[in-house]
Amino acid sequence: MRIVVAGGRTQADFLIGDLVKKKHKIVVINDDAAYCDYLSSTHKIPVYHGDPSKYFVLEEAGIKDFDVLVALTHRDADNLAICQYAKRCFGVKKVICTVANPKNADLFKELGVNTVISSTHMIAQYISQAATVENLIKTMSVEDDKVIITEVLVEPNYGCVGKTLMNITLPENAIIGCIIRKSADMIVPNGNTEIKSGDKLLILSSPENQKKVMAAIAN
Amino acid sequence: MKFERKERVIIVGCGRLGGRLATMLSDKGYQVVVIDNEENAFKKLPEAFGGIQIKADGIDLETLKYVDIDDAAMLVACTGNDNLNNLIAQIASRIFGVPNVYVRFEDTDKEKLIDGFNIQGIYPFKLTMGIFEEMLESDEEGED
Repeated sequence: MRIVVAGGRTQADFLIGDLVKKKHKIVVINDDAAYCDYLSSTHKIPVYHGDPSKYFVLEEAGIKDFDVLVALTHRDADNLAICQYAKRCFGVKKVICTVANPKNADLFKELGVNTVISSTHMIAQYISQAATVENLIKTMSVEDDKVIITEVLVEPNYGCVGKTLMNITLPENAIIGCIIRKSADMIVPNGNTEIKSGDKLLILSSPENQKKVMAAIAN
Repeated sequence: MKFERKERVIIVGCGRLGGRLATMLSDKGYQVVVIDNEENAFKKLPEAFGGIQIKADGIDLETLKYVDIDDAAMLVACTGNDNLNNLIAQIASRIFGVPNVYVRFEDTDKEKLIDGFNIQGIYPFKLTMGIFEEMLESDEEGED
């Protein structure tokens, strides 16, 4: 693929190295003269020195009909201008940019940028995913962290599925206070209540015992 | 330009142009909101300025929603940065459908970014060239 990388510092360096290794044809535009020297000597690729948000700079770099443009400057507005020029004036097929302000991610997509990457957004997403993986969807502490309420979604492969509460050994100072089940609104369980896959359990415990509780539910 | 008085005008960038424009439109009876991220910028406005000054980031969607951009009659993007102006103008016209959007560009090539949208470009370079061209034309006429 023919790819142009506009602006950026360390991320640009890393990205360029990676793309060159994968045998893509790369053109680089950067507004820092010293950095241009460094990039061209390190990666042996054409590097143009100039502000990539200027039309004549993009024209000089010869990016017409390139497959991809990646805009990595630290100013969101510059990245938008670069992407819009590339798409409207040079027929670049796919334009990608980073944004500093996560609120600009959806906005820039609406204004014609194919892919917008917000690192803040990605971190937030990663954290919420990591939380779901462990199924600790929410933890709420009450009474100055003396008690915590953990919300757990029961997966089909969990050891507690099909067992009644009587047969689940929870650590000390822990109790399954409530089960939220799709077919019923909520259940305050007793020893004979059976746990089903897809149940949401609200568990009261001491913070120290949270991990043990999770182990008892999942294994 | 035909605006009903009391309609809201948003000016982003309180530089020399933004400041004077805000004063002029406010004096003419428009409801003017000026946005700039520099407190000092508002010193350009006269003491008797009847509009609203907001110290905030003009490209922030929350700021623009806060000043009710969706029912503004006009927005002028005249910060000192062409790319910021482009972004602000595109948000105003393409996202919020502001009927009259004006954008100031130092770089005349930026025209390509707003071509086809309901956005009017203002180019100091072209205006200056226009004056020189007129001047030369009238000189030539004088020689005939």
